[in-house]
Amino acid sequence: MNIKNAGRQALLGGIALALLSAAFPAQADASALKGVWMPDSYSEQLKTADGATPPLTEEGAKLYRERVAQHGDRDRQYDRARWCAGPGMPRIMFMPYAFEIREDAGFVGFIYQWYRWHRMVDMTGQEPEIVVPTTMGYPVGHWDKDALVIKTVGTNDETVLDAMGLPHSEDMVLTERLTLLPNGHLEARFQIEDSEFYSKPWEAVMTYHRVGVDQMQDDICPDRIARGEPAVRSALP
Amino acid sequence: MSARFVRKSLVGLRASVFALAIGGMVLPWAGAAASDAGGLAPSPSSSASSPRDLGGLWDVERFVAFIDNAPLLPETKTLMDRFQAAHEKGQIIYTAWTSCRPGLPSAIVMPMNSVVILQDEADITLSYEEPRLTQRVRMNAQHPVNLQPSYMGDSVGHWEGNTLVIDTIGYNGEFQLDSQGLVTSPKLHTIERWTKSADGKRIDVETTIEDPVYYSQPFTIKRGYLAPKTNSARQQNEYDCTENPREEEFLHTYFIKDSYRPTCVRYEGKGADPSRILCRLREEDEGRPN
Repeated sequence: MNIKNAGRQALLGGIALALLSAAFPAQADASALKGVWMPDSYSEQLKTADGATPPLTEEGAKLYRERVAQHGDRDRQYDRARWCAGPGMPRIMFMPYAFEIREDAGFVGFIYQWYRWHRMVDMTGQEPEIVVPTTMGYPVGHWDKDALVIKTVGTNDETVLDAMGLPHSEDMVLTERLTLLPNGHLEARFQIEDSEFYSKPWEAVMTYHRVGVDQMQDDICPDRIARGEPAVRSALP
Repeated sequence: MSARFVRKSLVGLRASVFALAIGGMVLPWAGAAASDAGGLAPSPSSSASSPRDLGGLWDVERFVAFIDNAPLLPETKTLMDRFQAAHEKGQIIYTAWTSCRPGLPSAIVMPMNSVVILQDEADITLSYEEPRLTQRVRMNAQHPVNLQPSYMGDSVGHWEGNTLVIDTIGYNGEFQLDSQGLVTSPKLHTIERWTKSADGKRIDVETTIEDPVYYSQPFTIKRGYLAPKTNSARQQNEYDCTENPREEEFLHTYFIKDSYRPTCVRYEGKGADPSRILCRLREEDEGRPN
């Protein structure tokens, strides 16, 4: 075989492989992401992936300023997690508590330690049927190579994005992209599109490290606050 | 109609349904849902051919709020009569479930709507929609020697033929079995037996309940789960128990345990004063509106 023929065959082989891959894409699964995870850091204030304040509209900025001013008030009304109601998405992914990722039967399940919340991401490609807006919304997922991509709509606007009251509307479109980093940490990037409160889409990011399943012990928020403990702690354990 | 109004209406409907159950009425929905089973086609996930594959979303066959075959010890009967008397005076019986701290048996006895089961060789998790909780079953494992009592207890499982047997101990005795307030102690022991039908369209669950502190002998309850209709939504509804702790509800409430009294209460504003939720420890009274 001369060099020219070898090159042609390699080229044809490459094209065939590419066509084959396109026709039969590798079916990724969540096995690399499974396990119990804890955020690497925690802040009361959610920033963009670049560390900036999210691009609030004028109305959004006004509302956020009002809430930030109330943050120290024990009776602040914007924070429903204070009375153990659902913190919602994506805030629960930033809270300093563990969560577990599991997979089976066309679902990727997120089981949160904080007050027994869970969300089940439908991986079958079916459109969500939004009955009423909820704190967790209606998540559907797919694989983009090794990344788990989850799109969530139908979140109610009673929840906030951070402990300071960063707002969102019921029209928020949340797109998560979860990947395993080379160092073994989990990275989750959250794109938020919400023209009612933000002038443009923006992205936040969090990384997580693996912890033992003992971090998933039962958590009863009403019992904790009855003991005078905070509904949501303000630091990692 | 706004989405929020619809949501609040559903929450109200849910509360009404539960109040009916508490009220001791004949449950009109009991048995009705089961009759839909004839038209059901299993979802691909939950109809998997293996009888040991329980993974997927399953609909509760019917909501049952009461246990009617518990062999009460005399002192248990005395307690139950006290709850019943309070109910007959018009008070709402507040259990661990209604105070948003249900025990695992609350889900075993009174599941509402759906459960999602995620299964692998080492663990099986059952995420109940209402009451919202996740039971973790460690397969082929032993209970720890020094168990810390909890609302969820410690669940271990194994297969007997094609039946999943889940054994749970380590409960804390801080919750009730049903909406009447059937009491429990830390001696409570539950044994669930989950069996999928040959056609993959349903799961039958038989649970044996033992608690020698309050019941004269073990007794058994039966519940069922159905595979959802093909193409039906693969989402659970959301049960956010603590979202609206209304003051007026607590004015007519019989708390089975004092610890069920709420820390946070929504007070309806008067005039220009907006309604608001205030959280106060038991020893604090300052700041609460009159």
